[in-house]
Amino acid sequence: MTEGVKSYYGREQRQMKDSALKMRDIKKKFRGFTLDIPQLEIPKGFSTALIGENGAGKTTLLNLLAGIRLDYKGEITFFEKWKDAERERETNPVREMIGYTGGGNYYLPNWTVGQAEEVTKLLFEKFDSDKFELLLEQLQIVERGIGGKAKKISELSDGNKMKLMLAGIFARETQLLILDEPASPLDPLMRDVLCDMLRGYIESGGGEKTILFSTHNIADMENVTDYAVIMEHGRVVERGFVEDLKEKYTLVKGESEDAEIAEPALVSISKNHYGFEGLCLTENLNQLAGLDMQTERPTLSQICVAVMRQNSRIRLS
Amino acid sequence: MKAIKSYLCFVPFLYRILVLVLMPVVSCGVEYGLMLDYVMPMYLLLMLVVIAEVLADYWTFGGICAREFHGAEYLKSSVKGRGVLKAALFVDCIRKAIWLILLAGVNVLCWQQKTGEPVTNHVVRVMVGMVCSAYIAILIGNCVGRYVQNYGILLFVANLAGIVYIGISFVFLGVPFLVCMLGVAVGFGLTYFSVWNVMRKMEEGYYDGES
Repeated sequence: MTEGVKSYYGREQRQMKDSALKMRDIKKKFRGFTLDIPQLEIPKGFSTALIGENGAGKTTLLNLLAGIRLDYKGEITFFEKWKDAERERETNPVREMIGYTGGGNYYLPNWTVGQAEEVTKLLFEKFDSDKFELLLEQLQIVERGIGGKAKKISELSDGNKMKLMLAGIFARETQLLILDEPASPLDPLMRDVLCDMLRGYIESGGGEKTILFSTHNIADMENVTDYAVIMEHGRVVERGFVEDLKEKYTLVKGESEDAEIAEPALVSISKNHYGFEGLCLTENLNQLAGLDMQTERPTLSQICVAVMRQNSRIRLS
Repeated sequence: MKAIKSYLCFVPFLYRILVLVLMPVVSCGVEYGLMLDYVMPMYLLLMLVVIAEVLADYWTFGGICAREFHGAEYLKSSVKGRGVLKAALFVDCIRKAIWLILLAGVNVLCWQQKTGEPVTNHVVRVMVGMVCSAYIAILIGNCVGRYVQNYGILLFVANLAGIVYIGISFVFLGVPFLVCMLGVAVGFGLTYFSVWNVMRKMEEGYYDGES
């Protein structure tokens, strides 16, 4: 490990005082795919984005953490206190402390909005019906009154289904939100509202509330991402606080004739007739000395795309 | 009480009106209107009830065992999810049993009031046989129907359940009372099986056999 990388991870350790989730030697095989995470911690009090290509293992990992899938090897520690085996006991508070939103198989097919509310009351003790109804109205999920709640969930649009799931978890008292692609079905305005809701959730927790969400909409969700975990082929290929990652990497832009010289020092590169653009480890910038280049601080989206491109099996000639 | 609450969570408003209120009222009215014989009207009415109950199950637990709905992720995200679903399924079975018994009771009362004839052991045996047949046919229909998401196919399953009811009730009509009790035992067994089968599918959702 180079000095630069050592100091980088040292800084990460200092910032991550407590973890909401700690994973050790997680292994899960599923339809020819293997999730393999030797060690991963999700910092408490922050919002963490889980980023990766389709099929990278994000949903599988979130399912393990939410307790939707129980057949895996390894150990998960919740809130520095409870192991995953303890989570299944009815007296254990872990599942009560977690709010989870998932994919298409979330609610039973014939449920109405009203039934979803009734079931939530039974399933979770700290559920605020008034807050739920307020969210139904604020997010314009259904019209107010009995008729609105009688609407079948299967008749709601994908965006409204997601809003309903979000209303369900935001009406509960939780310590950790696990959200599987919450932004994907939402329109741009609602994505903005979602970011506000997530930020408000973190701020209301006084360092105790944590969010872990997967997303493909990195640019839209960047302002609500404190920590990022990038996955490829079931493995974590990069992680860190966003500000640290932006220091770790530098965006370089140069003339097209310098592209071949610069390429070996770059994490990823994209070239055209006018020039090249690539991401370089900041500690390797000296390898590009003498080239006519511009350097910029990268966005999270640029970092993610570069890291994913470096590890992807997708090859475009 | 909690079990009933769990059940009601799975029962939409329209189901409550149609199946829990309207169907019993109409059935009792029909029984009262046609009651000159205690067997045939009840026999035909129960066949309709079997078909209606299998079809109505679509609104409550429809497709819950189907591959696409392995998920039920919301229930699985709570440690109470298994208990809520199990309680709801048991209450559903008990509700159906009570409803069939009440229907038979009302049938006999109406018949007695109209004809003035005494309720003999034979009458009771016939009623027990018919109620058991209907209950068994409904649960068989439910067990199959919960794998079906297409209403057209469910209609076919419901009609098959009606035919199953006719077949079983023919057997029970001519057997001694003790053999009739076998039907009660089968009813209990099927109650357990129908709940176990759904819970098994839910458990399978947690485990895919690979780890």
